[in-house]
Amino acid sequence: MKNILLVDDSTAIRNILKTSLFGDFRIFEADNGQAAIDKAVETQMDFFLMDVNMPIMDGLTALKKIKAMPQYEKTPVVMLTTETRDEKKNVAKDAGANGWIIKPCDPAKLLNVIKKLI
Amino acid sequence: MKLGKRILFGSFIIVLHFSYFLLFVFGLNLAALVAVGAGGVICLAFFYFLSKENNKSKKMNKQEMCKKALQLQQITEELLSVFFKYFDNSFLLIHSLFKEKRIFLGNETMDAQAYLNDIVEKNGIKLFTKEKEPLRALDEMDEKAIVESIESVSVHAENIINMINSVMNNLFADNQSRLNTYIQKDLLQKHLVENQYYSELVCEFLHAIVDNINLTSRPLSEEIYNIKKSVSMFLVNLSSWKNELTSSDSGKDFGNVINNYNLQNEEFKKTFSQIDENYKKLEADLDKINVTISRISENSNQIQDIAEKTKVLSINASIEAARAGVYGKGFKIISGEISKMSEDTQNFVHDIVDKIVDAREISATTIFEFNKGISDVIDRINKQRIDFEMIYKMLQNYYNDFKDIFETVSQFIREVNDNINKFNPIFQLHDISIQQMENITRIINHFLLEEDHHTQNLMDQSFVTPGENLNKEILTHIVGDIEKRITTDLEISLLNKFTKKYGLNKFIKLKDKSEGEIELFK
Repeated sequence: MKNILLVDDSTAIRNILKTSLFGDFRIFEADNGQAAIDKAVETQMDFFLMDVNMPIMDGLTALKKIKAMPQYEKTPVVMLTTETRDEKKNVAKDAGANGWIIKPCDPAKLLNVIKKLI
Repeated sequence: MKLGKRILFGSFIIVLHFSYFLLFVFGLNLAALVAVGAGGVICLAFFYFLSKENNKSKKMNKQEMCKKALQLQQITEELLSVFFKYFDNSFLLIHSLFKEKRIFLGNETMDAQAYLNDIVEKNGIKLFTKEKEPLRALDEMDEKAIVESIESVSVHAENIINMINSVMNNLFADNQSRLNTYIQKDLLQKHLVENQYYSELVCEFLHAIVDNINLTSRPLSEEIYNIKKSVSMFLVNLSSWKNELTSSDSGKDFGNVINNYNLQNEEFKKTFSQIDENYKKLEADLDKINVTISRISENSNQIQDIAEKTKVLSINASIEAARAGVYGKGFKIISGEISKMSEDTQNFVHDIVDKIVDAREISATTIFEFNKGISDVIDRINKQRIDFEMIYKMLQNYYNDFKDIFETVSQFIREVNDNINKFNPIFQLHDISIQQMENITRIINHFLLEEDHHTQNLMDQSFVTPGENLNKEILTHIVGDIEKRITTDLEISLLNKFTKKYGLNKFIKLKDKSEGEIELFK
């Protein structure tokens, strides 16, 4: 079973994402970018689903740091955000993100995206 | 006020002319003394009136400030009522989703209403007592209704942002009017404190609302996760049971039982038909024996007849032998032997007949007993067959029932699963609303700091000349700052409206539809 790290400062969102992904993956959680990096060092992840706006460390900074780690160079990272503007999306793309999903999204489609990328 | 000024000015001119007159008549020194003295008195009077006038102006400013403060208070109250409505609405939405439904918690189920009440009580959530719209059950709430409810929340969020805009506009208007007049430091200080008070209050309420929403959404989302977990586990178990029943050892055992029964049944059938065959053969053999016995009996009768006739013949022969005298002696002996032989024959035949009768009786009894035994065996076999068939049918029915139950339960669980998935977008939208509120809080906090900064600047200056460029500069700065703090389409469109209204050269491009958009990068 593949490991997925859900990074979102909202507990409700993490719970509901867990609900959608339960059974197909082993799920790990982090409520900010720094916590995500700590978890990623501790356990080898196969996929990251990351919010953009978070306290302590935002998703884009965490994305850059994760992608700089040799073991995660090719691991897919998809950003899940309310951010609709292209500026941040382009930053994420340049930093090595594999996708940009705007909330609220269809759980079935999200699952398909993860299965496609993982 | 104008009349006072004229009188003062007139008095000043009269005194000045009178001083010149004295200068002309009595000489330079005295006249200058008088002129300076009169000028001084007039100046004192002038400043006295000016001060009085200024006090009047102060009173007017205070009144205006009070009015503004009242307006601000009203707007804030309205703003808070919208927040409450938002919170109430989202609570109603979740509430109605659970109404008249039962919640699965591990192995037990409980009333959703009691469960919600428990959450409300445990988390100290305050329920608003104002009149609510009638609740609708989940069955009545199709997806469209849920989306509409969520959209109504968005409308409230839009209202909130509009309210914030109006508060900001109001404060800008205040600043502008202040820039147009002399700076009243004490009033400005008061205004600053008022602004801080109201803004802090609004922020506090916003935080409280966000916390309250989190308090409801977190346990609910956790419970939904648990339900989903239980459902998934149950589905996994169900699937394994089904597999076990159809393909695993116990299933094979079940199949073996049926197969064994079928084999045994076939064996029974074979045995039965063999017994039947043997019986028929035996019956035929017994018939043949009977026929043979009958024939022997018939033959024995004939022998008996012959024996009797022989006896009669021997008696006649002995009579004839007696008549013949001495010559008939040998013949008499022979006829006596013949007679004896015929008696022996008769006795022998009687014996045979008796034995045949016995044998016939014995064979009849044997056939009867045999028949009876066979019918007993057949009865038992038939009974066993009926029992086996019943068991077989029962097992088959059980198996079919199990399959039906599995299918029904699987279908039910899948439906539950689908219903749970419907919660997903609701919670995501809920989270967006929370994020919007947090954004508003950040904007207000920032605005509070900016307001403080501007007021301090104004207090440090004695007089500022307002101008259109300065207004635009402040607005551009604020819009730029707000832009960094917003994320959703709704907020962007509201900011665009704001910049358009104040003629700022700033427009953020929006997409036609971005919600739920998934873009994968190559």
